[in-house]
Amino acid sequence: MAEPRFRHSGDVSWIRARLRAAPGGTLACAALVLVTAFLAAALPRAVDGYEDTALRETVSRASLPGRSVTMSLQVSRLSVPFDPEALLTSTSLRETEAQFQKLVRPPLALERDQTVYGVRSVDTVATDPGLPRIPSDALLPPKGTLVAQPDLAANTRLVEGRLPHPRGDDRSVEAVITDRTAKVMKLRAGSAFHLEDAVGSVMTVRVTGIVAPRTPAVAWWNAEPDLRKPRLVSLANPGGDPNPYWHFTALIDDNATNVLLGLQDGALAYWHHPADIDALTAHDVPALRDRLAALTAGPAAARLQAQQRDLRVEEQGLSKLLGPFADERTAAQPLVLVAAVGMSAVAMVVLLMAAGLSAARRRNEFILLRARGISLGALTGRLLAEGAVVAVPSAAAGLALALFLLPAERAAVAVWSAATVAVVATVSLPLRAAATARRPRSQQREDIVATRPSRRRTVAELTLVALVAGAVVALRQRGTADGGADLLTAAAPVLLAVVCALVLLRLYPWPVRLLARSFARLNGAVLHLGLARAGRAPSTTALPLLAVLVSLTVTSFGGSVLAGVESGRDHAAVTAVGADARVQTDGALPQKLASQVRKVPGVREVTGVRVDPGQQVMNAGTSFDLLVVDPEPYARLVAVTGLGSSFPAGKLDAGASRAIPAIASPLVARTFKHRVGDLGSVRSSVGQVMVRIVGTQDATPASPDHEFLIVSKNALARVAPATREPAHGPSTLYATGTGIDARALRAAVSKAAPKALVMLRTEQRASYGTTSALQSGTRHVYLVAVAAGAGYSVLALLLSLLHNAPQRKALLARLRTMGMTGRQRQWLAVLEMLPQVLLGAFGGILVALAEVPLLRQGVDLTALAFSAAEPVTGASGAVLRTDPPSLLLPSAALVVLACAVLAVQARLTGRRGEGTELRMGERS
Amino acid sequence: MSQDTSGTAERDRVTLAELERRITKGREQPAYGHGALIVCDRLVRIFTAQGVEVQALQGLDLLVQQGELMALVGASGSGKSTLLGILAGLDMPTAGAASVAGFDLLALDSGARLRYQREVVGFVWQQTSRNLLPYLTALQNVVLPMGLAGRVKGRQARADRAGELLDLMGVGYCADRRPQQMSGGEQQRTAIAVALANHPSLVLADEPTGQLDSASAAQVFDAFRTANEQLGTTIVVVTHDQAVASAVDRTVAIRDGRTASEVIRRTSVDDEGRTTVHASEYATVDRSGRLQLPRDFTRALDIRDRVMLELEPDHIALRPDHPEQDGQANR
Repeated sequence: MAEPRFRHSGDVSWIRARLRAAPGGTLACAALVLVTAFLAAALPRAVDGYEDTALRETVSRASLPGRSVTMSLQVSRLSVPFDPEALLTSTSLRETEAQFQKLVRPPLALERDQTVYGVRSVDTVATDPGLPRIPSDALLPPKGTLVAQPDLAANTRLVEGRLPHPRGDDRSVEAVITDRTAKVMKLRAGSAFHLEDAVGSVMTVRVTGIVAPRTPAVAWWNAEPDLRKPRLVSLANPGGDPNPYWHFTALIDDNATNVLLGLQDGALAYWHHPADIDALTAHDVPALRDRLAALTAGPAAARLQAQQRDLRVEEQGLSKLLGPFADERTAAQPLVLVAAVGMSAVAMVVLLMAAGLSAARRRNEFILLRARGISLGALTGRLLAEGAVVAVPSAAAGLALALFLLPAERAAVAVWSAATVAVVATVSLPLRAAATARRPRSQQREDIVATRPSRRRTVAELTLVALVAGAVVALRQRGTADGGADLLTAAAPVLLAVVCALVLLRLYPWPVRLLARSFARLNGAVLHLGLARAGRAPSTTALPLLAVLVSLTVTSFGGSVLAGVESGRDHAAVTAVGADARVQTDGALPQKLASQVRKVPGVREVTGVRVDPGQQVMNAGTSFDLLVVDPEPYARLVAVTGLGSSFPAGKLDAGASRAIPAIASPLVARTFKHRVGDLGSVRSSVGQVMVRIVGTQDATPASPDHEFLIVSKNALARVAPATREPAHGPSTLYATGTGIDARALRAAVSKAAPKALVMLRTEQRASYGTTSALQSGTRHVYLVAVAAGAGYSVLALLLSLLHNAPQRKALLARLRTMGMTGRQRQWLAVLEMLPQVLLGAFGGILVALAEVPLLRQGVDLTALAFSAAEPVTGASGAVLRTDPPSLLLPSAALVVLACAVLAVQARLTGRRGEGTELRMGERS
Repeated sequence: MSQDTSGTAERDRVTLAELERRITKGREQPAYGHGALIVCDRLVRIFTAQGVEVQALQGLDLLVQQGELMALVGASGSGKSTLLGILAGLDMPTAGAASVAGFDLLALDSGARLRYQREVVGFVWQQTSRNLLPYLTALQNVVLPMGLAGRVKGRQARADRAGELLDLMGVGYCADRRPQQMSGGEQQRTAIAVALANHPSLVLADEPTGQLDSASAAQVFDAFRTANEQLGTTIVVVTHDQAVASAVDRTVAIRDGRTASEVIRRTSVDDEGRTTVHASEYATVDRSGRLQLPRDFTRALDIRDRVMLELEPDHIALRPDHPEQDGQANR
């Protein structure tokens, strides 16, 4: 046997050979997988990021007590008869704190170094005449609180005098005050004041020194109120002006807390724990609320109270902040979910198309390998290894990039997304190849195009359409879901796009074939050839069309959300104000105010309405507002604002009987109907009046959130002439117009009626316009997802063009040999693909129109349109609305782009020589 | 009466025993094509596409013995490529029987088909680009089927064997070149080496010299002959090329989906060492005795629907059916 003549064994390393064979394709594939994995991992991280940022911003805007969890224990000789002093020692305080800390578990995170605990006195007043009161003849004396917090010396800087000693008897104690307290309360080192409790026992407090805070911003100084300086508190006084008084604090030594027990209510031991803002995460908010509830009133609280009775835990603001945040987050989730599902669908389509293109290009190789005797499993295994070598490192790199660039707490979702991308990219080519090369087949012509698709494909498509249609129907019948993220709702655009794509692809050849037949009579060949080719069953699958449809749908969904939010805000503003401007007061407005308001620039018409709230139907519980209007102008107001259907002004003045005609809201009308003959008596400001219901209105400008009854001014004056007097004149003026000058209006109103309230629709509308961090973050993520989806769908179009490129090039080269000019060939290329592109644009519009009624019930825009802080009347207007620009612009852009790409490709192929395209003996 | 019954009973007994004897005799006789490598018995292949039926093979009979080097010729559309596809295991016949080296081609499951394609048959297509994987060198292309079959163990052993095959084909110097770097003739010879990689019993070639010039075609055919003589492989070549068809020992012409005629060449060496090649053309007779008359014969005698046959001691006479001539002959 000859010695080995060959340096290398020749046993091919499959992967190395493949990678070396097509470096460009491999790089492109790796880039695609990298970008896709990056986007897939970045989306959940970005959402987490802005949600966390929004939450932390919301919580940090609250004051320190507003975001703390406070434990408190009331200790007095009455409540703890046996050894109450032991509970107030600093050791006991520390132990209780340690027990509390054992109950603090994630997700609740409290800042340990910002914990403040101490003891303070409860509710004492300082009656010394020397202490200031504002105003000086005020009723209420200042209130003083004695506070003992550990580490007094470490946190204060002595300005004057000395720190207090712990000794003292039951009636007197030494204390220090801050410099600002001393200035306001007019106290000095060495002076003394007396604190008196509710039963009259007096405690003398001797001020031994003045201190200044070492670091005023730390929690030590800010946990308890008014430690650094006194505060003027106003006590509300019903029926009069509020009463102010000063509240100040004096610091005593923490070993002197026993003296506080001499007061009647004793002392209050407190432990303030501010929440750790940086540890807050948005997705933990429900668990956090549960934890807080458990601490304040649940099993953890019970465990604490088992240790020490009367130990209470409360938090004054954290759950009030978290509740609206959670609602807003839940409301914003469908948006993000729709964008995420849409983008991932388009990305998957592109990955599958890339695999399909690769499989189609390498079809001969697979058939050859199968014919040479490779088993299907071995072929799949080799392709799997080939794919994994490219896809897995790229996906890992994309994931690492996303994790690095977008910091957030959880990485699980991002890792899973990137892993899914890697799996799809790896597995799609082997599966496609296995489907192609399952049964070894001899060579066929590749440019054969069937008139209609195979029966198997028809059955598969029908099954898919039936499944998806069933899902869509189920979604529609579900009605209002339980809110929040719902995968079926979010997948609805994709499902609709699937159905639309399959149906359109089946239907479009027929009209095209009709057109082709009619164009056959024309002289030129281009139109007929192009349409004839386009009228055959499409050789590509529905995938590129699906990608285009999904991205168009997601884009228009965003547009419809925005349109819904805008229209919801408009509707709420109009409902809240009732017209473009409203001037209202209790009682009656001056008569000349109406003409003055009419003179304000921008005002077109003014009408006055007298609103008598709180009327009641006799012997029925319904309360309503009685509206006395001028029928004709009021009818015009109703028409302009759109609140209510066509107002029958004529009916209100008709009739001369004792019972005046009235228009009521439906509930009032029903209540009246239960009596005899629709007649009822109503108590108005001038006595009892008989009314007769002549019509109903669902809503009316003058009474947005109550039931109402509308009568005509003249009719009322007919039966009760006293109403003509100015004291019974209109209480509210409604002005319509565009561009009302707010300043002039306010000036006119304040001159004539200083106490009247002026509201403008434009100002009300603008007040809804503030977007929170959560909403702007959602918007950013949505825009990025839409842009990514658009990019992917363009890539899908390019891939589908690439799919047919060899056949098209061969066809164009053959036509050139037959004498077709370059321009004609360009037109032919465009015409061949134009129906599919137009189909994409048209189908996108269809699906976008169809998805609005489908998703309207599942997507609640109220929390997005209005901040949850104030309740808003008329918020029902915030639903999805079709937005024509966002429907039409992307479709038009798609058509233009596709035509441009096709024309470029046709021009490029026209230059190459035919020798390379057409070879003798080639069968295709 | 009793005599009759006893007579009939005897006749019945004899008839039954006679039947049994005939059956056992039939079973002991060798089946049709016993001992041949390729046995095609009334092979039918019908293609149906969108309601149009095409009968590519209409009951083809073919017997190929081991070690033959034969060519299949015929006009385009006569069914040669279809037959080749069936013999290569890439296509399934509609009816009839075909067996190659004991593998029944109508009853191949996927595992048996795999074994058949790996170990029994090798093929060479016409387009050189479809025979070789473009991203592997010639040596790697030859090693690939060996690796798949797994009979030759050890990477070095496979490489050596591949090298030997390439040398045998005369393209040993192309071992490290990729297909794009080789000429058409070199590619086809490499393709033959790939087909021979697993020592198959049968090598099929579909117009291997169709894209080559006459010099390369001659080289390729020499390669086939070398393989046939030195390795004992049976080679069936489908060709239009007259040079190839006249260089093989046996040429079978296929017409209208059936074998029509055969040309057999015998080489004889006379006493002075001169080699003479005798080529004789025959018409194929299938199992049921059917015969296809060559077109020029039938046209010459205006033979249309019927012929009269007369059995002579050493030949069969065939006369066309012309009634007026018969009448004259009879008179």
